[in-house]
Amino acid sequence: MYWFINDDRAILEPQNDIFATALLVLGFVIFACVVSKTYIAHQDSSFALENYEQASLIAQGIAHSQMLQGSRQDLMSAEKLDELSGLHADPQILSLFFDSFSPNVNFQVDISTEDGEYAWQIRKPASSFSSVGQVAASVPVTLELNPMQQVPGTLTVKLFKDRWNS
Amino acid sequence: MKAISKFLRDERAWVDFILSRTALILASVVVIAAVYHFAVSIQEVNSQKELDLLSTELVSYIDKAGSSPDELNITYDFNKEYLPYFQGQQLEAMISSEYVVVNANINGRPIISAKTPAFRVYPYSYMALCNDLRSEYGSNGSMVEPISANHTDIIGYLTSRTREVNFNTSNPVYIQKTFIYFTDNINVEKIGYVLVYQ
Repeated sequence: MYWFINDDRAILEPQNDIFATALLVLGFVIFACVVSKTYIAHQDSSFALENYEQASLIAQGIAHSQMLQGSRQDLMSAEKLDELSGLHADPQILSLFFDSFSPNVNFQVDISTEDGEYAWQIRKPASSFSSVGQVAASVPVTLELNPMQQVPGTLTVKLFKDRWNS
Repeated sequence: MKAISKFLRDERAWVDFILSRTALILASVVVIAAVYHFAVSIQEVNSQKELDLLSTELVSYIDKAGSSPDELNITYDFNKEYLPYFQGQQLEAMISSEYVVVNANINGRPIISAKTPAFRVYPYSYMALCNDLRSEYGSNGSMVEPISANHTDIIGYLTSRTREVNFNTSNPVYIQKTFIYFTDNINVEKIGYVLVYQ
């Protein structure tokens, strides 16, 4: 270091401006990288936020749907969930369920009791879900397992979205 | 030969000077152009974001109505006051059964924002819906006059009737959740639709 500071030959002196420009370009490139990274992070969070609201509204719509209603308006019938979920789902009822929603919206519904003993999954038939973004929203529900037994549970809507279709 | 020899022995370094200054000028031009382009891109991104805000807000109102278990009426106003890039600009909104599109022209460049509502949309009034259903099925699809048809037929018919409808962004938009009742002569079922009209 001492040798470098006391070197009076001035080899670098004529190219000072080139080094200064190189530093400026480097600084600008780093600045652009930081800004674009921040923009991508902001895009991701706004994508999640926008679609979370939609997923949440779908979840609320399903939670209050008359198709899944139990003996009371605030109850969700396990018997009706059985008809809609799994491999033996009734295609007619499943079609009526998903036809209430836009055909451009791909989602699946997971419903489970709080203790995890019972779980149902409602999926659109013949859907591939080959999308980039996934956003999920949950709402609490009360499941009516039978007329004598009502248990708390969660209804989760998993929304599958392409970035361009956000 | 003499000229080359003279050139090689010339120690005034003018070539070095010209080359380094030219490189410096070129680098400065590139940096200034990049900074300018960056500023313009940021402005475009901001105006796109503002337009997205408007279309997302409208879609959110449509989804809110769609998620309601009962019939519901909402009035929506395009709030352009808090969008600085679109002050005094003409905004166009188009709604079809599948998309909500808001577009604008900023300095001759078109900016488009399209969003998908989660629920089924029919961009006409309740009267138009009733008239369309009555002309096709002979009943208007209300609770007292359910349609004798399959729900997929009804959806297919309404989708084929739907065109892209232009909305005036200066006037309020009416959003109405309604149900179409249909029967297979044993059970009466219903399917929800969100009507959007002015």
